[in-house]
Amino acid sequence: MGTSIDDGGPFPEDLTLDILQRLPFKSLLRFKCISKNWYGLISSPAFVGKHFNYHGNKKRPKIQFHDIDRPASDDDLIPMIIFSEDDSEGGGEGTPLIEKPHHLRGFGVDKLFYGPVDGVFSFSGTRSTTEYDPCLGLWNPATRVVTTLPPVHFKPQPAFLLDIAGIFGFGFDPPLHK
Amino acid sequence: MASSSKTEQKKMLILKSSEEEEFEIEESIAVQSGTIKNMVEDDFTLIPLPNVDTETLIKIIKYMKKHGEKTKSNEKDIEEFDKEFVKKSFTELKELVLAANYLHITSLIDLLCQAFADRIKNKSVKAIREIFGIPNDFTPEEEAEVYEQHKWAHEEGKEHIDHSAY
Repeated sequence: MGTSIDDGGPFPEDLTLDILQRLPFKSLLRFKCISKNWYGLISSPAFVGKHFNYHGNKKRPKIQFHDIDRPASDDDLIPMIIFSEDDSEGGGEGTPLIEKPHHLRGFGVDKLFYGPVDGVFSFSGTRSTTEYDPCLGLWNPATRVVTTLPPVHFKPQPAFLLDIAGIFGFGFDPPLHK
Repeated sequence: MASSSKTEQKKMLILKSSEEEEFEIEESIAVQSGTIKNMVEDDFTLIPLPNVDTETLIKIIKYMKKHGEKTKSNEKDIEEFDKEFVKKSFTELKELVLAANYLHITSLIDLLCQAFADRIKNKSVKAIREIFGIPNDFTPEEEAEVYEQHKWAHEEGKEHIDHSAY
């Protein structure tokens, strides 16, 4: 049986990256724990782009919104299930990847999702049911990282409120690349 | 790139391993390796490969010969060959991918990297360190912090994690 393959040369970085880019997200996030070097490699924007492009042609998870009956007390339930398109069954069936995205709680996410831009969605929600207090954020379903954008510093005229749905556009500014 | 075709004999090359063993191979097959192709263009016929040991070179030649005879009709056959080809220990795979990288055989690098990815994706962090010979340079506190960052990735489906380093 083989022993540890530490016979002289370290694995060249370009080969390591070639292997890593083929791995699913979940494995990569776990492998950040392996060493500081791997942590850096996996986290680097250059690698994130490379990984995304490599998997670009493959099937991507679909997001479906369901009107799950909300119990009156549970305002935080997000009516959403994320499916994997990887199952080759046709129709709308798929294995739910994330049944209840708990990590989206507290953002009052009940509004539209825009995107994805490079795999990241934007969402808007309201944090208060009485005031217009919009909350905008970015959500990466693969890593489950949620980031809120700085609060909006304007109060639109009441007349605008009805038209407000859908005006938050979402684009990607390449130099920022965050 | 002029090459005289005075005779109908196929041009042969000699590949020499790091252990000085020599192997004859048709040039048309050997040039699947970008490295060898460059040397041929510089008029080498004896190709020393100091980075590739005999055992690995034999496997690489086998791969190139199989892929050198690729036709429309034997695609399935080659697929089967590739599948069997990667059924090797991690030690052997590592030697092969380093050699393929050095020799610039794109299809083989692709095949081997994919084999690595398929085999390691469900392996535990510890197993990966063993396989690649990577020392852990995190302190326990640092490692715990990184673990927490993506806790769900470690926790969800952890019963399927493979802890073996083989």
